[in-house]
Amino acid sequence: MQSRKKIIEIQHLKKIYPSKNAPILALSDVSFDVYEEEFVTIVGQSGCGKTTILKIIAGLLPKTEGTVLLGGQPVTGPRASSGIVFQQPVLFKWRSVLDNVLLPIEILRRNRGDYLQAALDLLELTALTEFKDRYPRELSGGMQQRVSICRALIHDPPVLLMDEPFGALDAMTRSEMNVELLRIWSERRKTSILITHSITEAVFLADRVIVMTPRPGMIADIVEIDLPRPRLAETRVSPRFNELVQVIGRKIGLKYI
Amino acid sequence: MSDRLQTIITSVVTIVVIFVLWEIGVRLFNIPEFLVPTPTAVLAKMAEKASLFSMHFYVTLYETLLGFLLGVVIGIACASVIVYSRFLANVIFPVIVILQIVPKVAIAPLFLIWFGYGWESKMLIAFLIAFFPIIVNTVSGLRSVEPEMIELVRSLEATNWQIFRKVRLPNSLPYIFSGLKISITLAVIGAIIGEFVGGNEGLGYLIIVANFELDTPLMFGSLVLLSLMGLVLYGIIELLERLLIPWSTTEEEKVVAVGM
Ligand SMILES: Nc1ncnc2c1ncn2[C@@H]1O[C@H](COP(=O)(O)OP(=O)(O)O)[C@@H](O)[C@H]1O
Ligand SMILES: [Mg+2]
Repeated sequence: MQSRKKIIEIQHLKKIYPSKNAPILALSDVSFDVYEEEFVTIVGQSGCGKTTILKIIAGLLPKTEGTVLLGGQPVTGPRASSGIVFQQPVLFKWRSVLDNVLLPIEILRRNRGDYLQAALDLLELTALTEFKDRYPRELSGGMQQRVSICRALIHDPPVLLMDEPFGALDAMTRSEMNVELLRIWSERRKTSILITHSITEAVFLADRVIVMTPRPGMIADIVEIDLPRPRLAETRVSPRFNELVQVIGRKIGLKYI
Repeated sequence: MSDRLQTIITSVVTIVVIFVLWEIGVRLFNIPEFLVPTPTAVLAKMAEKASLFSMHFYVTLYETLLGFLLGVVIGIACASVIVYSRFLANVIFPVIVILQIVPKVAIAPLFLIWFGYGWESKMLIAFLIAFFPIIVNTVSGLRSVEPEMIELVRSLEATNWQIFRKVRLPNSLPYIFSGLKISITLAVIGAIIGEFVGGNEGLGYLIIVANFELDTPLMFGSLVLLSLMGLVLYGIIELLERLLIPWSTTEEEKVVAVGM
């Protein structure tokens, strides 16, 4: 792992949200790296600064202090080298599924025709082919989120950033989406960061889990997940899986788990 | 679809029944024609004076459409400017509020002095009334974008123009259309107000003439045509809405009510 290329490097990242009366210290001192093709999850309680980290990496939010490098370059603003998935699917309701997937191509002013096959392949991969001409409102929550994952992948960005992408889904759909996401990831091998407040989800998906303390956000520990891949539904009932979940739960500061 | 058909049939039957009762009532009680003419007398009048009616009809239609289109163009342009520039918003808003507060009927005579007794003054009154619902609806449509939609395209290095064209504008279309539907009927009213105040053309003018001559069938004929005009124009906008934004669901439309 250590010999691989670092894609994301974060050192002493600090973020203060300015506010008239009391500025909010969202992140105090965060440092971690993400290696090429690695799947890292960030887990922590609500409000500990997970979204803040992701938005800073995406260049959507300015940092207060520290260094953030993406592909060796300092992040100064948004760059199309990362695909983003939010908690809500954020689909454009006036576009068909296929047109939603192709949105990044239009924004990047690339030739739509060159990416049509890629879009159809992604829809095939996520079992959405027969819905390509539907409007988003005709799809279930899980299907909508799969569309938004396709959209994040269409321009083939080296990095995939996901902010609680399955947080709005019911538990069963969520487990299915986890398996499905790993399947996509094993085919496309993006360097991925996924944020979650579900410890089981964090363990199931990750090569490494970054555990955050409650506010102000700091890294409590980084845990290597040595579960074999490919991971399947059965992985969740293995003793090692439960052990890792317990370890991480205690690091977050949960008394009962 | 069959639900729609049923609605249409019910409406048509209701209207026919009203006209039949009206006809019977007027004949039964021997009401003089200058008070209430029978529907058949009105129809006879419309047939007899067809070319007169059609000439005045087109004048009013023309004024209405021009005023409405001016309202659409300027309304959407002003709304975009307001959404993008805080400074210009502060410049434009007070002007709009003042224009909205002044009763349009009361400034109509002034407009006739300024812009003459021809179609121009009528168009401008129609515009002034039609403009407000469009600008208000467009502003709220352009503003009601999920912040994450903007973040998503910003993460792809979208330009401000792309954010407007690909996100804000399409997002505001259902709002704009509900503004247009209010505006088109208001534009008809604006044109009529102008014609009432002065001039020698249009269905509003025809109503005033009929009033002087106590020609009530002529007056009713004008009213029928005015209602038809409003109805058809509204229908056209609704049709355009259905064709252009089939993805829209009505519950998200914000209808902003406006007084005159
Ligand atoms: N735009 C903002 N302005 C002020 N404070 C904010 C803003 N966004 C987030 N915060 C604060 O920063 C902290 C971290 O927020 P966030 O990164 O959204 O946490 P998480 O995603 O882990 O739930 C929270 O306490 C939140 O209240
Ligand atoms: Mg969050």
